[in-house]
Amino acid sequence: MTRSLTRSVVALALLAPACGPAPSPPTPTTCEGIETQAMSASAEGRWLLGLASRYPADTALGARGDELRRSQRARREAAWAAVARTLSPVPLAHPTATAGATVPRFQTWYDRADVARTFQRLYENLGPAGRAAQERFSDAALDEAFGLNVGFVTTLPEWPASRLEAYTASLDTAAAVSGVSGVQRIALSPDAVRHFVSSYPEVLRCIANGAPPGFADGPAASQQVAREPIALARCGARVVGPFFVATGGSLTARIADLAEGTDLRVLEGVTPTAATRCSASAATGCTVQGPGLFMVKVTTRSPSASGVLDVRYTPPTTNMAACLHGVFPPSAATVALEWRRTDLGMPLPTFDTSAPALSRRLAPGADATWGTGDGAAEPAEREAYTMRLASGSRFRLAGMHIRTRELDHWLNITLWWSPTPDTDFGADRPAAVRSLGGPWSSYKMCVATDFDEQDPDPAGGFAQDAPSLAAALRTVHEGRGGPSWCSNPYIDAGPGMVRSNCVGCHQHAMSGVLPADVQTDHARFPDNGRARVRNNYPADGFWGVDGGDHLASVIAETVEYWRSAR
Amino acid sequence: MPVASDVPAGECGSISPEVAAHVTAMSTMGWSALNRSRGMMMHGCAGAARPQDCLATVPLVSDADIGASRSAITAAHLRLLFTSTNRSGFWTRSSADGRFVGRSTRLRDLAREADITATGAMYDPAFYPDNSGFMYQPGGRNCPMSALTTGTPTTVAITGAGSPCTGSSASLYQHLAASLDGGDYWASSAGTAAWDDGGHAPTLTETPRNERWTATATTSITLMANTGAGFSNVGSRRVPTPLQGDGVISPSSRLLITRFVDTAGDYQGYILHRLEASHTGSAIMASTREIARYCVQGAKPGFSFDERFIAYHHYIGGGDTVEADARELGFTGADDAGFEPYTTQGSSNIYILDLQTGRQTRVTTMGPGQYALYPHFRSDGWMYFLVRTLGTTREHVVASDAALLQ
Repeated sequence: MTRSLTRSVVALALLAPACGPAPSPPTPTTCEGIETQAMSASAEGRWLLGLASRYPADTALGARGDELRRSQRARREAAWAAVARTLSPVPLAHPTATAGATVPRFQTWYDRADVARTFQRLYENLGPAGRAAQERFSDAALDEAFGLNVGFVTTLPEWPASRLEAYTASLDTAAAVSGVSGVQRIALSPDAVRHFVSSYPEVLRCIANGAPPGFADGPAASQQVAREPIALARCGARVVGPFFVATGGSLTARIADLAEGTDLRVLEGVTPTAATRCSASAATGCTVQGPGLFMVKVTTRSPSASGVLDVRYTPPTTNMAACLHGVFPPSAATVALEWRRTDLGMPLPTFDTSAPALSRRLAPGADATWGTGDGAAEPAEREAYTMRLASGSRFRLAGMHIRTRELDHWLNITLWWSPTPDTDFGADRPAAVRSLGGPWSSYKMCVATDFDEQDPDPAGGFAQDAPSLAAALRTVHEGRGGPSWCSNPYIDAGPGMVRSNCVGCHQHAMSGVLPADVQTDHARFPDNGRARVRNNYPADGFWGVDGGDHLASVIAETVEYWRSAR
Repeated sequence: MPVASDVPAGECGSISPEVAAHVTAMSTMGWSALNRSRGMMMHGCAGAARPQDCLATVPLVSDADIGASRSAITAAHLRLLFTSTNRSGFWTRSSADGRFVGRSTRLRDLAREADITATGAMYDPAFYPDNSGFMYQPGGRNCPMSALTTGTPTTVAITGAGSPCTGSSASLYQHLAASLDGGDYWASSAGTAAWDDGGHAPTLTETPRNERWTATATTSITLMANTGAGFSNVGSRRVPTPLQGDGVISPSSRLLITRFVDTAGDYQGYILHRLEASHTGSAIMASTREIARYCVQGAKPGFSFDERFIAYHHYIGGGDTVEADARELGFTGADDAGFEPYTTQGSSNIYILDLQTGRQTRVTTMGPGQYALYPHFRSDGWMYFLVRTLGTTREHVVASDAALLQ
């Protein structure tokens, strides 16, 4: 983890003939899908689903972080495999009128109501002394609470066995079974919930005292070295960083063996107005003292310049996730779901994500917004994952984010429905996903694992066997070291959010930053919010704590409930 | 009992079997049951085995506040939730879990015993039955409950920069329903209302209507459809509610209760409607059907979460009902010397009405110049109401378990 968190690089390649400014990107307004909560799995639904199915993390993936950053192809293969693990069918805990009924694994995961019932039980059982001491929950207590949540409905007088039988008998179609978990917007794997509820003392502390600032100082760690190849044309510039330097530490930047005409500056801060702390010829280099957050900017007046930027710095030792009891485990996973109603006379909009269409949306002067769609469709149940609620309302799954903590900055995957599912971002769909059945072959996918793109190949390694995907990837590739890309037409619907990468927004979870500001405040959050601007992630990148379902309030309400009962 | 010809067709005391069927259904499927199944933590219920055992540590009312003998029901309890020295305007409403009480722009957090000021709001606090949020006027500003429950806020910005709230089309005297099963629900405007801010000055009768409730009066029904990403206003229909106003929709959105008048404009009582609303795609069909008529006097009512009861206050001291009111309080009549102070200072009492049986029960016996107002239920059946007293800015908020004893 230390490696990736100390070397993240943001780069801006500005190649303008007269060294003039690049056009400003349009102004987006919101961060990705963390807004509305919706109907949750009911108590009877949880009884039928049973204990949520653990996310079977690929424990070897963490060691492949650098490989995935450098290879779009490896990244996508890993992402598709995670998709298959997330969508794998899981049998229900009790029989229904639909023989052999299953739901995709993510639909067994826990939502806000589950978290509330589970935490309430855990916290109550601590007793007055345990609550006063903010004791941790034992594994046995956690196991018991999850189990009691499953059986909670059977403790309610209004749910006798006969009513539960009638309930299961009403689930007579696959779509009805799919509706058992409700119109969830956000759901968490069991280990994600386990970690979150176990973190309640830290959550309370952050609610009371606030989260650490974007730059959290601390004792100087050992010196880190970052080397970044630089290749510039005349008037070119490249910004590398950020680098976080501790009090008492320093940063030295230099490009050896470069002729005169190429300069280097160390800037304090990530904003366009960041102050210059030192400047020198690149070959000479310069040094600044901590504490602070620094960027290194290289410019050249020469016809061309190339070399390796060498940055040595001493970062602070920090608590990476101060509002949690450490970072989430690899088996933590979350989904954010975008359901669309089918029976209100509103067809499903469709979006063209081919290279030409993306080029139009990302062209200079375009607003980089997905808009209302390029067409419309009425996909059948075999073509789009569909659910029916007890009320009769039907919904299609238009898109979904899947985030797994198998990597330091999470494996950030998003799926969206497409009427042409086997082209561009669906052209490399593996057999493991196709074999899941009809609807799941209708979703395209993109993935991001870091703030910046480190694959030097704009085509991501797909030029030969998936040319439409290669072409689409070229349109979103902003050069090696540029901001990474991944955006869902249905979920990332705010203005400007065709330029998105998930990672940049999620770094701010529980930091006090409003999600909408991440995309709109270009001064504080460069690259449409995609740039790394923090050296700590208070909620380990999980917005569900203070955005969306606001799980922190579940903890706060429960604690206040018992405090006021004394 | 026959009805005068100048009121909407229907019969006082008529209660369709549909009412009982609805109450039975809601006892297991309504918001009270649903909130229980979601583990809603009711304020003051930690360690309580039954709702009746809640608020046991909250002091009973006494002569130091509203008077020790204000309960009209022997076995019932009136508990003093808090006293404020700040006078409020218009109604008082509380969160489904009973933790927050909204009076004008002050939200009382009973758990923290602290006030939260709603900046940018003016009046009409209201809370969703699922405890997901609250609303203020003007502008129908919808706010998440997490704005109140996270941390130790002293203010919450209802409007302006940094506000967690969003605007809506809901207008004054809003009653907030919510979808029980993720399906669609129906919202209703109050129609023509009677602004009710009694008790600041002698108030002897129900407050007058702002506009006439005419024979062509209508109530607007709005389809709030679950689009998958939230609930959206898909469209509205107007349904005839002749000579009626002050419409209140039930928490499940399946019932609508209105107050009705005769052609002279005199209040006659309440009409309970079944909301017959459906849609095919975005095409909306909506109508109301009377299923009960209760000819009792009272102001704008509030439904219990199980939809078995309504609660309301009734002003006394004058008007057509003064004689009956005096007798009901145990006086020989309006001329009784003991009742005389009521005829000058006024008063109001709280009532609950069992929708299945039509039985009305008086909950309070307030003194002259003492006004028990704006009763409303929390999810477990406890009821909160406000007490104003002439000549003082001091106001009390009181909890009653009367409905739990029925």
